[in-house]
Amino acid sequence: MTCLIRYDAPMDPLTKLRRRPFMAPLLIPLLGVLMAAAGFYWLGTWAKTTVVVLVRHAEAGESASGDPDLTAAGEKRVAGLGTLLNDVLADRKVDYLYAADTRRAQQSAAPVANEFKLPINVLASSDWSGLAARIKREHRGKTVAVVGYATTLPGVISQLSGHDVVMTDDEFDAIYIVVMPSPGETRVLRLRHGAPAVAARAESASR
Amino acid sequence: MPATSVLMAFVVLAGCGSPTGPAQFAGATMGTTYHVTVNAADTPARREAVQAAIDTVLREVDRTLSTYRDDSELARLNRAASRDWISVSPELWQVLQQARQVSLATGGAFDITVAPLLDAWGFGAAATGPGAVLVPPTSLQIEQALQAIGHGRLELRDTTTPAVRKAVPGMRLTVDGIAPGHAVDRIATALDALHYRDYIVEIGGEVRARGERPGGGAWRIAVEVPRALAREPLVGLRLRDMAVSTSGDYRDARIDAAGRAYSHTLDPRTGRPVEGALASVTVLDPLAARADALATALTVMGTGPGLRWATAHGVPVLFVERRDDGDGWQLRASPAFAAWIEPGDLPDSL
Repeated sequence: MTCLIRYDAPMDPLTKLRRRPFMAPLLIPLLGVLMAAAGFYWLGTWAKTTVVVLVRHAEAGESASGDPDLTAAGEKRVAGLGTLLNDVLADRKVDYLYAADTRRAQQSAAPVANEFKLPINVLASSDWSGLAARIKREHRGKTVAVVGYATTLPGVISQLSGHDVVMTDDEFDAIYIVVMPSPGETRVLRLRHGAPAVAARAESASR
Repeated sequence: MPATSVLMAFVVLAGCGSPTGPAQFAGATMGTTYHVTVNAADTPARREAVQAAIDTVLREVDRTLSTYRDDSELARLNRAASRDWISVSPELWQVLQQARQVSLATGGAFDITVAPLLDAWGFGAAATGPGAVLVPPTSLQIEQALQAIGHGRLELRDTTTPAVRKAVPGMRLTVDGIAPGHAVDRIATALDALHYRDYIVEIGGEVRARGERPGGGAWRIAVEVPRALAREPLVGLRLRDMAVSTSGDYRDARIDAAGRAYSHTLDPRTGRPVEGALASVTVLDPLAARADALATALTVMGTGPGLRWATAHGVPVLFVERRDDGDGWQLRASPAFAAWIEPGDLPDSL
């Protein structure tokens, strides 16, 4: 009796593989590679870390106009700011730079602008409330530097990270770095740059 | 606007450069050359101070205004792709403000936002040079470039922080049509600060003179015959406390594959190179930056409208046109120009 096989009949996949045993070692790794590529693509587009560096402006003098320049101590403090951020950020570069619209903030931001060859986007007083949301919306996965005041930076840090920080009037050496991995937990790092500002003030007061 | 100003011949008396005579300084800058003559007997130390002041100015201008280095302040501003206010240095703000004044005064004939248009025509910072064959852009490419330009779309403010804002995020600026004049003004200011009263400064044909030349009398310069290979004077000028700029394209015209010549001066209003018989335009103004920009603007406007504008505004301007028969030049000047012509050197055609 002759057994006929109908090739147009539906066959389950295993039956197919059994009929082409040489394809199995190729198809399964290929499927794995395709899934891995899709995974990497998804991670690359979704999983990004946004870094925001928030810098308090350095020491400023007095001015009748209310818009003083940095003092000599302030200029000295910010002179190495660009290089410092370049070292701290390692393989990242500052992509966007914002600074308040006062001379002391602009002068504090200038070394960062020069180091990373960036323009300085000016922040008016009305821009601060929406800055955190804008960074999350427009600069996802980028590195952003913000130069501002003791009165404005803590609010931005809080909106970015949910962490409350206190910045005193004499904290001219403060740098906060908010690291926002996605997915992952947002962290806030605190750095000091230049001579210790609070210690310098205390020493000055004791004299 | 990259209208290359025509090199103007200096007439400086002999004895220059000697320890007791006038001091001369020269070198390369901004893709061209500079010459400064200070009419004063100085010590070597003072001359070193002058050279240091010149070097400082040229370095700062290059760092601020260059379109050929990616770390200049202008290059950073051009890269800014937002509609935020971008802070600018007082120097850049001053140049942008002067450019805007000329743009407004001339109905947009001078426009520093034409960088996309220059690139479309191959005249921009990435240009291949005067010797390369020009491939004219299509009408569509010109229209697209025009969408991204317009001096009115660049806002300037001078409140707490001098800043500019682009209405079109992709806007790019080029200040080649005003930067050499600005550098001349800055050097003049530096010489003033060093208490010099008699000097002449020239960068790439942009000239500013103050006081008297060696031996007394106004400084004497000449507007050249507008020929590519000629270096002969056409009209002599006596210059005192005044700047002069000449715009012309007879040295840098570009040729397409069919052999047609194109001026490198673009009309920002049409997006196309200027055409016609106008060979050069010479403008006098107390500020070299303004003379520089006006020379380009009046080249774009053409002889008829330009002459009416110059007459109405009392600006000394000389238009040099090619004669229809190809033999010689037709000179037309605004009334205010005559006062600056070397006595006895008034051309018959004026």
